[in-house]
Amino acid sequence: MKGADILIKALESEGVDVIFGYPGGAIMPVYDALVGSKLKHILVRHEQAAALAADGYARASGNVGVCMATSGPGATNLLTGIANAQLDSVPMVAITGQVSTTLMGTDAFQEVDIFGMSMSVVKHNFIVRKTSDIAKTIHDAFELARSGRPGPVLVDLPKDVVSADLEDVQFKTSSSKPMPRPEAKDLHVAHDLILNSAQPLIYAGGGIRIAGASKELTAFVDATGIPVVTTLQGLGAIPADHPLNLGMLGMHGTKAANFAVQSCDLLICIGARFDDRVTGKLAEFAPGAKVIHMDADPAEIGKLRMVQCAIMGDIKVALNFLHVRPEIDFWVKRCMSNKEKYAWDYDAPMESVYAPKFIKEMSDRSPENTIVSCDVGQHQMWVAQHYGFKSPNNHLTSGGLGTMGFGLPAAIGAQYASPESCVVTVSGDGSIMMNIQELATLKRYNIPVKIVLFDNKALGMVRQWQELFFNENYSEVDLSDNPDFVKVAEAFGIPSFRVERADEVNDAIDRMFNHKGPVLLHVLIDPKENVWPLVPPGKSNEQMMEAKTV
Amino acid sequence: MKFTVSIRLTNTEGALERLLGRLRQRAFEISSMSAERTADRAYLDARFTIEGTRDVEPVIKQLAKCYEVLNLKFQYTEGGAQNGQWQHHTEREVCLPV
Ligand SMILES: Cc1ncc(C[n+]2csc(CCOP(=O)(O)OP(=O)(O)O)c2C)c(N)n1
Ligand SMILES: [Mg+2]
Repeated sequence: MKGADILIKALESEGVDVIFGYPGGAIMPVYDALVGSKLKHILVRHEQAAALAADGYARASGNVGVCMATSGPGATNLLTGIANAQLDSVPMVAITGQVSTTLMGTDAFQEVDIFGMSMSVVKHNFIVRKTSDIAKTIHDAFELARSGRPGPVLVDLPKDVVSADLEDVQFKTSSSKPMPRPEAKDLHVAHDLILNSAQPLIYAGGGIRIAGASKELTAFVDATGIPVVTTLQGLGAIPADHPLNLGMLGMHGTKAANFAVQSCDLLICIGARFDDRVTGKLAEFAPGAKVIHMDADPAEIGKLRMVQCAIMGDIKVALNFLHVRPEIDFWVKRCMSNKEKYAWDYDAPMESVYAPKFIKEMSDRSPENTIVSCDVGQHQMWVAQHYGFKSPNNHLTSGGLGTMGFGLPAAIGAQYASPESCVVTVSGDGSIMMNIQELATLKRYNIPVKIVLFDNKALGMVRQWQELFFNENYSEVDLSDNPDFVKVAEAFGIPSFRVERADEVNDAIDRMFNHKGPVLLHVLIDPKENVWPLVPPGKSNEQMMEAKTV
Repeated sequence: MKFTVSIRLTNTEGALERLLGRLRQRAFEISSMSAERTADRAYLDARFTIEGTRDVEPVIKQLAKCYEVLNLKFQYTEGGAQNGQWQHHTEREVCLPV
């Protein structure tokens, strides 16, 4: 058996069904072995998209996403996608070709030290120097990628190692250890903290999706009656329309959520990490609160906020244990009245398309179980604010790294993870250009991803910050010479149409959802529209700016 | 703050580099270090004396999180509450493969 065949077999024993990748010199033996194997390989048009598609696949399915590239430029092109997975704790295995071991360190053609380069953006990485190590290393890579707090694992495979022959290879089948149970003493401390609190609040993050604990979270909320705020990654962890859900907190969070956080006396943080986009000025975040922190990663505990109680291990067990009912009627009423008072207002008496209203309509008109990926910018925040997510696996967003160009490849990955679901990506005129080449991938495999492209002729989020925090000194944010996106899509063989007026929106959304294959909807919006509310950088969460009333 | 960290790690490619990277990223300065391979070549015993302005516990946890680290202890030599006492760090990320 050749090393490359061992690799393919090892991937199969891990249950891999699809790989996103791009061939080249050093990885050629592997591509040779791929022919005739059971693995489906999707040829993307840029390695960054391979990593981001693997990421989208993993987020939508909960399984490890796999991407592959050749040495040198292929490997460096993967890096952004790998970092993206690392910052959002997404399980991924990235396989890179490498020059032969004898050439490593000689500045050989297409040699880069991807092992060294990727070290700070992976959960772990390996160089395989012996053919006999391939099977075990792949097995370990998968186990590491999905265990505990998931993350990307890179495996660098020199050409001679995958070319050599080996007899008698042992393959392990896919395995992973169950999460340990939380310690009873910690659960009892949490129990008492909850019971004795007057103004408790749940702060739920991406860890709920990773643990598959949405049902347990909702049951916990129902049993305790405690209101919930979620992070960007936590959206859908509890259904958007749950009465006790106050919405997203943080920089572009709801007023109800941010006011609740600032006045709670107990913050129950579940699978979240006190990110600076969430806390605003850290020293003034939830100033009167004791903290219970549940996480799979010990390094998160006490990293940014002192906690009174830390619960490690299986979140589901913890949530199921903590069904107590504190007396908090007064607090809940206050939270609910804020929620009502500050509810979104979609009345926009304008002829042009109002993006938040568009997203709201899209949410209401979408087929059951629609998956939405987004790019990065204002449109991403509008999706977070106005789309009603019912499951955390249905919202794919680059939160930690904020990677423009994430949306389209992630949607491709998600469509492979969930072939029956409708998959939509919401993009911006800036972001779409970062991976526009993937329209060719949609066409080649007839992947029925729907693209909603919000065109404000600008790098809108940066423009908004220049307007608000840099005295309207606009610097390099104008995109008024954008290409004709409808024509671009059509050149790739993707049907496309344009929406310019508010009264066209509903029909356009229906038309898009009813369309069978891939389609691009080019939506022109007001270049001056901003995302509100907004906690200015370095300010505390109660200092929220709002749209200037005209 | 000055502290000493003593770590046993598996003798695998990149193990030391990974630890050094985590210290550098958080702006800790190493004032001395040593590492020795065990006789059976399976492990390295490394010792770093470190200075920095950031909190020590988070970086200790980040070091302990490295897959190669088998055990870790540290002691404050200046500026800590318990100067001179070794503290063992036992927590590892849950359910890592062995
Ligand atoms: C790869 C990358 N480069 C730069 C940025 C900084 N950035 C954040 S939002 C943004 C503007 C995005 O523009 P667009 O996609 O049109 O979205 P809009 O804000 O206009 O909705 C930029 C440049 C980033 N997040 N990612
Ligand atoms: Mg834009």
